[in-house]
Amino acid sequence: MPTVSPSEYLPYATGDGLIPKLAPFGSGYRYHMSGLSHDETGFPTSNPATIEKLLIRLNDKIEKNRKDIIKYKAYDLDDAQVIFLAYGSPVRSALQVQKEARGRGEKVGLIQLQTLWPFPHELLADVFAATKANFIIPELSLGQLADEVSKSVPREKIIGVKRNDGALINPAQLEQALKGVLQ
Amino acid sequence: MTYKQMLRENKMPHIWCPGCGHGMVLSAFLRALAEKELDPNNVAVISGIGCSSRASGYLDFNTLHTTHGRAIPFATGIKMAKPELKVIVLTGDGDSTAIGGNHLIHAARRNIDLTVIVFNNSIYGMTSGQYSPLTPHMKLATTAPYGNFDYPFDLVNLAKGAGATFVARGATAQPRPLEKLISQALDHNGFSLVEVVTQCPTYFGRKNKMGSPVDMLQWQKENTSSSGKEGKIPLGVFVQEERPEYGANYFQHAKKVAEGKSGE
Repeated sequence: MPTVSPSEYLPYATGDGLIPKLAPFGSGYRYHMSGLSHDETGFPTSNPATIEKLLIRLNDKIEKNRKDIIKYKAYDLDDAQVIFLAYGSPVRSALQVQKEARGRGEKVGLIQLQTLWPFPHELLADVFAATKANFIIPELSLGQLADEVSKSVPREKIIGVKRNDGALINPAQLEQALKGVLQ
Repeated sequence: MTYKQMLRENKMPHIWCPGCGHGMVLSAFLRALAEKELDPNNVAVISGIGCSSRASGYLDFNTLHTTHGRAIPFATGIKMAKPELKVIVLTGDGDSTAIGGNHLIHAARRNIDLTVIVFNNSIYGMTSGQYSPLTPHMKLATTAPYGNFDYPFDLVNLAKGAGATFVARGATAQPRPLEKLISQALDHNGFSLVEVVTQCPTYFGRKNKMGSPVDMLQWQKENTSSSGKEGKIPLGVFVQEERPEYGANYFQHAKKVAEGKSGE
């Protein structure tokens, strides 16, 4: 609950923090909440400086909490020479190929991204610095994921596997890509 | 509550054009609410996007100006989280029957205890006069320069068919009867909807050469009827029935399930 009286209460005054402490409806603190760009009172504003401050704060709520928001799973990265990096449905096919490769003694790892924004550039840069691995990136899109990864991994170390015909990326397709890299 | 206590006077003047009927709807609403002896801390007014939805900002309650068409979902959340609050939705014809149309019918189907007041001026005023699902057939709009080829919803029948347990229609030309309809809706336990025929002289009136705001009110008087006259827009209460209210029954059901009894 707010520490000031209802007449002094500014619902969207965040002080040095990023998140306004909104009093619950019915608590005696009556205020206005709006989906429009708003000031500290909660009412719409078209003041450019206020709007910019609001948008930067909203973005900061994401960017400054990267560590809490970013989720991924990593498999066998330590000695990896090739790393599959995938998000969504291609993960399952990639995981099967990665496991089978390990079974054959090939040094293959996998990173499953479970969130896309904020993008884990620091993780990928660290993994690349430690392993110098090639990254195979299967995606049901036109290469946007590989493009994003190229901000933290050199382009020449990225092999994109794209599919845009309505079918899923299957293990055989990834097996072939892996064979190409290992040769 | 006095009329004055319910307004945030420091937010005046309002954005509505001269001659707009929205202030008349708001005024009828406040007169109805003033009788209810509610604590303003326990009143929540939720609105969507559009001219009418700006009303929430002028009211000294717990107010929430939501995204387009989503006033009812937000209101549903508030009612479920805080059943002790009186939750009222102020919305327009575009907001509640186009982008928010599905929310409207499903809230009616649930019979959740909300009072929804639809300011029906037959047009999207804020964005300069596009036709809405309540624009009459062949009337002109910015996006219907040759006439609106679609037929409008009859909002009363839509709400009735969807399961609303209180449905009424009023008009700004009849402010006292309108106040009574809103008052009855506020007293109803369950989903209540009041459609209010109101005038937009700036867009709907100008496009359709309906004259001044006074002429538009005169048009309403000539074209509405509280006694069911043939060929006129009927005003009055069309549905008033009792059916289990969603929130209270939901919590009872949840309790049963938690106690291991199967729901009925």
